[in-house]
Amino acid sequence: MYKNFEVIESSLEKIKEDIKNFYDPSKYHFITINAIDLGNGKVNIKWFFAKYEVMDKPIAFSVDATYEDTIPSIVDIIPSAWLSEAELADLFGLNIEGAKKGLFLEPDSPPAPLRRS
Amino acid sequence: MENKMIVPFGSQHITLLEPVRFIFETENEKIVNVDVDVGYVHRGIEKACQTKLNYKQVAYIIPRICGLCAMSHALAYITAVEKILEFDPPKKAKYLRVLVHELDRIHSHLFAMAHVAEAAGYENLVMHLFRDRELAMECLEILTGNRVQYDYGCIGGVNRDLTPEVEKILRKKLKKLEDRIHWFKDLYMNDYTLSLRWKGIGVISKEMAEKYNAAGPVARASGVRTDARAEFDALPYRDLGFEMIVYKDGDIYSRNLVRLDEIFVSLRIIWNILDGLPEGNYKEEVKGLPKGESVCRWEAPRGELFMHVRGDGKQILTRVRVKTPTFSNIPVLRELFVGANYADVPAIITSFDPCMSCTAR
Amino acid sequence: MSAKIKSPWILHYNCGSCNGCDVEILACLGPKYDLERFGIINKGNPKQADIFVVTGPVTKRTRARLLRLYMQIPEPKVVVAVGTCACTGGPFRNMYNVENGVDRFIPVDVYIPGCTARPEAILKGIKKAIEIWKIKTKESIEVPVVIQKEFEETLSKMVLHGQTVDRRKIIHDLVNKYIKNNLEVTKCD
Ligand code: SF4
Repeated sequence: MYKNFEVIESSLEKIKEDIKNFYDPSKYHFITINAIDLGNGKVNIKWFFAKYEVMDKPIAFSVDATYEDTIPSIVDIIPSAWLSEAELADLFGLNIEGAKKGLFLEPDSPPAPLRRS
Repeated sequence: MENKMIVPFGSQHITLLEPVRFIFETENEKIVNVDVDVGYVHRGIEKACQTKLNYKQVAYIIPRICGLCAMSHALAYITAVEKILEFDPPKKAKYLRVLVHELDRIHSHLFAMAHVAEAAGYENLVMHLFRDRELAMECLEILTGNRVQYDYGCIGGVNRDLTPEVEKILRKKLKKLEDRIHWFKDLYMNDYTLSLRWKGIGVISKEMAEKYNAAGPVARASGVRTDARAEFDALPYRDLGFEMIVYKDGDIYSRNLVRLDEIFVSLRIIWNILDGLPEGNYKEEVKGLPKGESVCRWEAPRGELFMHVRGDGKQILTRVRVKTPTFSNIPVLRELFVGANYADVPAIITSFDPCMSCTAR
Repeated sequence: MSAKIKSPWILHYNCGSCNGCDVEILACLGPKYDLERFGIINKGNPKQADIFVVTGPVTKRTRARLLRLYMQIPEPKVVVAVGTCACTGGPFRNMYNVENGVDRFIPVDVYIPGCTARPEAILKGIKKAIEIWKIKTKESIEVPVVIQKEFEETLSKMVLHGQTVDRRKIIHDLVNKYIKNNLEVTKCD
């Protein structure tokens, strides 16, 4: 399934704790957050990290959630994550703590376009 | 406070190539707060990749995210899909991909440097840079058939071979280009106009770059050793004499020097490819439907490009996510503005070489 | 008049393109193709511009800016759509945030196709635009496509009532109304 990156499974409650223990700004590079619609109102969210300077597989924290869940924000651990979070909140309609909507979409764009209905 | 003033910058502005909007709150000349709106160019390409187009067609819409680094987008996507299909492209195709990708980097870097020079008011240098950028553009045109959107890569290899006649022309033009780049290096090191305008302006410390996860030349100018060419195993950069360029100062001047020095590295890589191009096919048939998930990290001219692809065994992919270099650089850019002089804003923005078409997709 | 003809200044706006055509326009202004030999300067200020060069398929957020910029350019003005995506939407046609081409909003005089439009084509297109621009006068006021219908209605109503007609003012009012009603501008502009 996962061809060239490592996945660490986590859960909505634990994810913040896990990332906090894992992330070291001088060693790891935070890449982005991505979501995949799994159908039936389920969504899979991944937080990607990569090591500086060494040739190694990227690492992803993976969480399964539904669209109703509130996703914890990691901005207090990784300040640059606000942009990725705003994007997900906008394009997927996820409830991410503190992420403001309207980064990309206009009022007359389709709401949450990347969801598969 | 009453003496705060709000200055909007963009979405249409002479130093901006593309629409992005900053709203600066200034106190006298100092900026105290910034708001940024990057969503002007959002078109919905990711959605189209997941609904309308099959996975082979996607390779031709993905480069339309951004014209300046079209090759990086296309190749990163192609690499990710090939990783899912567990297909290893022929060696010659890999070398040709590096060749076009590095030519792409050269013209993009020259363009970025010209842009910064324009923001500094140095018209003469702009024109010089533009003239020599045309040499790289001519190389690309003769090799691929188009100047900007060249759709050179395809799933399974590349779309055109490098013939001996083309190689001869490439060598001639690149020789000339190399001489010119030496001349530019000399100019950048010695011209005091440039150092006056750029030294010590817009400084990003190493800690800041790491904290806000800057990418590409911006990070490398601040002393962060990061380059996806050395960190991700997609193309044979190790055999081609790749070297990471890192500067320490983190100001506009060193961002320019990083770009300039990377052009030398790119040229060296290109010479190595032209001298030792392996024999064999440049394209092979790929069979099967993508099933699985893979990522690709790619060093685009502006920094790390990240592609996350998932297929469920159908013609149409389930998810294509593009994280572009400027997307990573926006947070650090926003942080950098706080406390900067308003007069330096154009120079700082252009020194990041932001690409909004990438950011918003 | 003759002084004007020798210096058509251009205003370039990117309303959602991939940058490919934008860099080609800049390459045209560079030494190899040298658009500047026609007296052209790339100006960032719409009030000084004569030729409006537009790239990109008009995304939802740039619509209002496109109309505003168009309204701010003094007459006579010429609009050049550069690239397939500015002409028809091109590769982005029918994507959810795209409005398919500049001519859905403003009248376009010259279409330059190609993805990417070649610099030679851009040169020819701009040359053509200058020719069109020479013929146009201050009185040739064009109506943005989006308000064409309302404009005609208002005009016929006013003529019926025997009022004096100021076309420019009507167009301005209608465009402002249109932007306010249909293109909800999210932030101050
Ligand atoms: S026509 Fe093609 S190259 Fe030009 S801006 Fe549009 S997508 Fe980019």
